[in-house]
Amino acid sequence: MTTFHDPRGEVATAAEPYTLNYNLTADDGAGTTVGLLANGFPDSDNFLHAVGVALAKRLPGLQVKFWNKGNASIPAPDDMLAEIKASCQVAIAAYGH
Amino acid sequence: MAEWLEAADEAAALEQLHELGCTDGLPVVIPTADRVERMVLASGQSADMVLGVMGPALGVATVEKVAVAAVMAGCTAEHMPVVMAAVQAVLQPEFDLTEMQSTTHCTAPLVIVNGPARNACGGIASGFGALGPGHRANASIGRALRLTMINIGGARPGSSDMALLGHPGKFTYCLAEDEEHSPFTPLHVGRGFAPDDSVVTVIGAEAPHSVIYSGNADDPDDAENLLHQLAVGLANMATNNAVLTGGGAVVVLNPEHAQILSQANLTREHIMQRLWELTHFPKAQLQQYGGSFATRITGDDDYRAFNAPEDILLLMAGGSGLYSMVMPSWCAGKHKNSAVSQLVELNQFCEIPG
Repeated sequence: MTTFHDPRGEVATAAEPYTLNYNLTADDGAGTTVGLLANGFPDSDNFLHAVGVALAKRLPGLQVKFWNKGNASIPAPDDMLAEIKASCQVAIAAYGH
Repeated sequence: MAEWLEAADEAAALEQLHELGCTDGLPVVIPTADRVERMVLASGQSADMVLGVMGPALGVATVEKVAVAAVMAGCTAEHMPVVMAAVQAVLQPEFDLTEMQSTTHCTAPLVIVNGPARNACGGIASGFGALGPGHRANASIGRALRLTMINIGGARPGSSDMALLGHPGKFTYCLAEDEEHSPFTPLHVGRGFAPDDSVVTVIGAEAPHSVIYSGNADDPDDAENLLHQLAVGLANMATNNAVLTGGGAVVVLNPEHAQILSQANLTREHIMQRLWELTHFPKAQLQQYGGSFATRITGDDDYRAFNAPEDILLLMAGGSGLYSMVMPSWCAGKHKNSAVSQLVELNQFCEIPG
């Protein structure tokens, strides 16, 4: 039997368990705001605007808000994430080129 | 605290490491307790000393985990100081390692070694074929850094390392500067270190692009012509340097090309300055080829591929001949994936008896 080191690093920040579900359709979306976060490339913005239009058509009570982090190569700024968290029940991110 | 794996024998251990995605696809040396212990001992540091947190997986880079990677890569104990310095360098915030590991671009940390460590740490090649194959120290040191990026940083192709195609330097990418034969001050001295300092400089770099130039000593524009050729390679309109701008890039002069520039009385600073000037381009060029990236350039003036001459790393390495090399870069991330230089702490390291 050979015993050897596991080369994988211990993770500094453990992932917190979360549940990804939300009923958008209740009351045609009334009382729900969906945040759409584009990564900065024009395609991501175009795609998410189409998603926003489609959601509004299906669920007339739904509110949709758009964000664009402006640079695909950086994480979304903390204040932007805080803003999304504070004002939305659901967030959708997209990347494009 | 070490975590352990078990297998029937070393052949089975190798298969297990492959299956876990812990290799670069090539066979590795199995990181047994005694091999890793020797490597840690060589570092002169405590096994659990933390060098930093490596993204995107946010793995903790302890000396022991780095030693594990060094063993797997085939390093000797002599290589360890350079491996440690290279890991410390990529962990500096301005290197943007997490973002670089995750990009779709083809970029890998090029490890450039200057000073006494070139000889003291296993003989890091700077001459013919320095980027390989065939040079153990170069191959092993660069590979060890990559294995830390895979196993501590968690970069795995197609899930967290999103490079569309990758490049061969993502296996290993390490060379030394040929300081003894260069007519110029060495790279590390140009970056503010003393000549007898041992320094590792890392830069996220594409694979080497060849720049052909046949010198003509009778031509008074010989040096200027060579500089034009190098500038085309550094920042042609197919590079991120010309389109995204603001990052760094590398020029590796071969000794013959270095001589052409030196005979024209050009210094390291002159060369960097001229290459910077030659990579200013009309905005219309970016508008024609750069798509949406052109919209952020304002004004009608020429725009600059490099913010400053210092962003162009210049060194001499390789054999003499027609070909120098340039390595454009990614030019993205919060700090534009800046080059970082790190002292190699030779005094901390212990010699391990055979």
